Amino acid sequence: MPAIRLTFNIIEGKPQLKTARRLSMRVPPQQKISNIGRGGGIWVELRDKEGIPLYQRVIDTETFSGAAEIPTGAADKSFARVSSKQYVSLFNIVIPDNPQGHSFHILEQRSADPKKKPVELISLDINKACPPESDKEGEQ
Amino acid sequence: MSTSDGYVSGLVKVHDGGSPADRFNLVLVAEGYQVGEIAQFQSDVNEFVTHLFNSPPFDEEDLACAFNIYRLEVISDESGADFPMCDDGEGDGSSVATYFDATFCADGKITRLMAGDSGSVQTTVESYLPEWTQILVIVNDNRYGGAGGSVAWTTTGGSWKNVALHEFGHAAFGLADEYDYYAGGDEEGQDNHPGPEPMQPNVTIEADPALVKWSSLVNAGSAVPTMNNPDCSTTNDGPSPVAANIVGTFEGADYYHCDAYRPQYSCKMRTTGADFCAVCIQTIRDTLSAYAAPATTGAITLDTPTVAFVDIPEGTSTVRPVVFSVDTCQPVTFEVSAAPGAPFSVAYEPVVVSNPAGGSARLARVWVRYECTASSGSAFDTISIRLVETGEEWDINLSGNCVPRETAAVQLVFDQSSSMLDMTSEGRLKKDVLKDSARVMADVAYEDTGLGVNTYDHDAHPSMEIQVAGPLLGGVGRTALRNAITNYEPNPSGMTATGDGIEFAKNKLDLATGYDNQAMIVLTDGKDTASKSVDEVDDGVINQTVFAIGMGTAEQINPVTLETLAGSTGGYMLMTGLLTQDDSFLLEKFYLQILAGVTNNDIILDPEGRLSPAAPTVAIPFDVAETDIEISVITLANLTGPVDMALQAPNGDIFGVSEAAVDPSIEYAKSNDSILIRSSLPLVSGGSPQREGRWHLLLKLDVKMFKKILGSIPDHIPDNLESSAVLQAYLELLTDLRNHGVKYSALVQTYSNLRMDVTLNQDSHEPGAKLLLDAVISEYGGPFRGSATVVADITLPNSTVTTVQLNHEGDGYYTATMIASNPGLYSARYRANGTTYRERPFTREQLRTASVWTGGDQPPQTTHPGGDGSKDPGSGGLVELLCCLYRHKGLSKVFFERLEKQGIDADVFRRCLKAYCKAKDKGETFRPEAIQQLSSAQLEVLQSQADELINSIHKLMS
Repeated sequence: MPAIRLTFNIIEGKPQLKTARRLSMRVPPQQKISNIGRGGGIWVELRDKEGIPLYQRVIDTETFSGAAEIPTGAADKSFARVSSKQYVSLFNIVIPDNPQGHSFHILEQRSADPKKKPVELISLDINKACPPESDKEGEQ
Repeated sequence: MSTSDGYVSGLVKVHDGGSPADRFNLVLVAEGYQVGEIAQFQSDVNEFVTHLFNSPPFDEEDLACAFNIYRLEVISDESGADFPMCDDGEGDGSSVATYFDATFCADGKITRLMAGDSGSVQTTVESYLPEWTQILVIVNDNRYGGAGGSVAWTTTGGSWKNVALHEFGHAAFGLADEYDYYAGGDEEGQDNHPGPEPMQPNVTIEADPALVKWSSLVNAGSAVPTMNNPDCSTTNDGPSPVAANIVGTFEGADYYHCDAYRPQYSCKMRTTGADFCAVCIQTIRDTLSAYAAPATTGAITLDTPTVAFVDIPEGTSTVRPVVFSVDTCQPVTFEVSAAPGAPFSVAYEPVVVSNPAGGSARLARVWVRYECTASSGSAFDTISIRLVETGEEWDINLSGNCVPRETAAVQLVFDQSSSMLDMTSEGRLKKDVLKDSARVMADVAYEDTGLGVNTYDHDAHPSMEIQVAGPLLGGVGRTALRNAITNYEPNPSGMTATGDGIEFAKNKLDLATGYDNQAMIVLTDGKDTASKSVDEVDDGVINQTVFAIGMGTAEQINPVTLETLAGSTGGYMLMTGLLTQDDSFLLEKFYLQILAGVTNNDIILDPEGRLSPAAPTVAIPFDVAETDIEISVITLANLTGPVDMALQAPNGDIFGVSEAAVDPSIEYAKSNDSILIRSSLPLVSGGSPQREGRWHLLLKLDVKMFKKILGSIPDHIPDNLESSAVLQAYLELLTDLRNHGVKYSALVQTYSNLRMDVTLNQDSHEPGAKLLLDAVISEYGGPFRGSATVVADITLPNSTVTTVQLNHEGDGYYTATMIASNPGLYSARYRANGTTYRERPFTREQLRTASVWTGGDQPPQTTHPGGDGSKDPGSGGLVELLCCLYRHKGLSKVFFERLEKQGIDADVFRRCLKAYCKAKDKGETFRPEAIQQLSSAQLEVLQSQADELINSIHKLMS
């Protein structure tokens, strides 16, 4: 199925779009999380022109925490998180290449208060970030 | 220290779940492996894949099918990873040249943070597989380190495979950490979770198991929470208050000591040694289900838009599959939405389910049956098949035509040379062994089988013209064959010219028109001693299948040329070795096996045993599969009169002589040598058709009749027994019957759509030869899709039996080799035991022999006149030369003196040579009267002496 892969560099916890590519591959399903936008965490969202979400998926919070997870070698406390702003990691997400798709967002909700809007870590015009094949042909 | 420090060797798919467009594509990338270490990388990958598929839930077949797994073989100039001086005090400052520049202390601060140029990794992978889903870089370094992300890194140190799965949980499935600390201990700020409720599926701030987001999986008791942390200033490392598999709310998760809960006490998102918890497993399943589902387009491909039943034998039914390629690992179900009409039908219900099994596209089959009767003619129809899951529908064209069942003509070729008058070590004359065994051909041949006989000694002789066997009782061909066998007598002065016998049979078969298959069965007991020998038969002349039976040892017969000729025509040769008392039915079984093959029958099993007054009944189980069309059971016995035979169907119904009397589809016949039951399947009794399942062959000794027969045999020697040897055999039979009862050998065979063909080839005939054992099982004319093991029980020259397992090479082809170390006969009984594609049990058996002996690879010594002078002059050419020298007085005194020194009487030699050459000049065969007076044993001695003489002359001439 048509899909778009978006690749971000995470520098000091902030995403920067590195590449965008249209592909034919499956995308992970939307998760059945009832508290998207209300609970705490980070998620990605594909919206149409009206701002209505077409696709949502929760992602690992620590990806954008500016920390890295390392193995400790211990049996009981096998992992540890270390703050490492110097470490540049990559974040990839594959979303549906939906003709209605207009914008892509990475959002973070830090408060339980529903009145507080989530923080937008990044927002992209999906067709500018990844021009449709037909547009590319027209440019040639 | 970059991509200039090595090169990419290539991408290899190591687990195939289907098209990369449809599957979760995990790519394992090599880093820090030198070219000589790439085998280690392959091993590391295999270890990881094995670990993954043994770790729940990835061990579930449906989920394993959701994956494609690849390894990207990247060669680095040097091994391992950089180990720089790190802010945490570790590191030694070493640096190595690797392709992706992997380094510990990737951020300059923490040694165990081990990563490299993830961007370069991604770019490299994308150039090979744009559809990648998750990348794991495996760094060839056994120090512990790694980093998470969609491009994750791990060394091969410690429990790296579990660490990789944990990182997999984050990047691929959005799972949260379930450990209750941050940096590794009692650091500040991690006492109480501040909220709000985490979005990740596997952590919560809700303490009540009944209200938690994974409540559907909860099986905890009433405690709220299931486990709490009494001291929020630190982690709670106490034991679980409940069993390990209990799902509830366990305090301590999401980096906090308190007010955050995980679903189970242990989870791989908490410690490396644990499995994933139930909630994580459910999340993984939900995610992977999107990758395991059938493709929306192109997932199912119809491979057989038409199904043709071509030239199906009348009176049989056969099935052929409509085949689909299924590129999905989830089960799919096909159903017949419009069934075809007669003579077609849907063969099996439920139609078919393609089970997930990993690997690439699987084949699903919907089976269609075609019933072929004399009135079927040609037929055309359509079957419509629908895929339940997607609603897709296909129309498949069906066609079929019937032809009369294949017929066969069989010419029996009997050696009537003088040595057939010899006694076997079993105690019968060879001629009687031949007569006793060959009669079974008349007993069991199909009505439409043509039967003929010719004999040969130094020339070929007609015996019986090919005639149709006819009815089991009184058939003209059968009667003629029995008469021909009765009248068979060896020629006391006959030599052996097997080539003549074969060519005569070929000419007879050429004249026998109207048979689909033609074969000859040559029985011989010795080497060729006259022209034409087998090696004088021109290549390619024999256009019938040649089978051969060698009665004796390889040294006596030298079977190489006959074996080669038989093999070149699609037949084979069987050797008896030295016949013993245990081999009383051996030749009959050889004939029956060959006849079965000629008439397209397969042997299900061939048990042997005894029936006695103490144990008068036996029930021998055997399996009939849905592939079997007709069944024939033949029981050979040394006394058939008091033996009754019947078949017991899987439902217990009996089919024997009484049923045959009222059901024309069952044939029953008893002769002095054998009992036969033959019937097409299914057999019907009381309206219940019986085919597939466990049948029994029932044999019963009528004890009263048995005792009566034994009692009626006179104690005195009958007047018509002329030979002491025959008398001895007669007395031994009597003793055997009285002491042990009736000896029987049964042969259950079937005309079937499931066939086993075997070959036993050898690369030499000398001791040390390699024996090549092959077996091919086919089903409905195509490759075997069931499951079977094939073994060969090999009786070695010392009479011990060893069993060799044949390896399955795919598509029903099985093979094995063994070394024939010692001289003698190797008798291989192939046994297949398995289930058909429809999982019905079956067995098949076949017998083959091989012989090795010292000198087995030497060219055969032709001990008769008239060898091919263009080749090695041999003895024939040599005698011609001697005649020439004798006529022209070219044999000097010195020659005769040297003959004397070799122990040969020169005067006798002169007389013999004169007589021979004189006969030769007149075009007569050299037959001194004295020779005609000799017994076969004396002739054999003479032949042996003649061989020595020829050898001596060879030495002299050279």
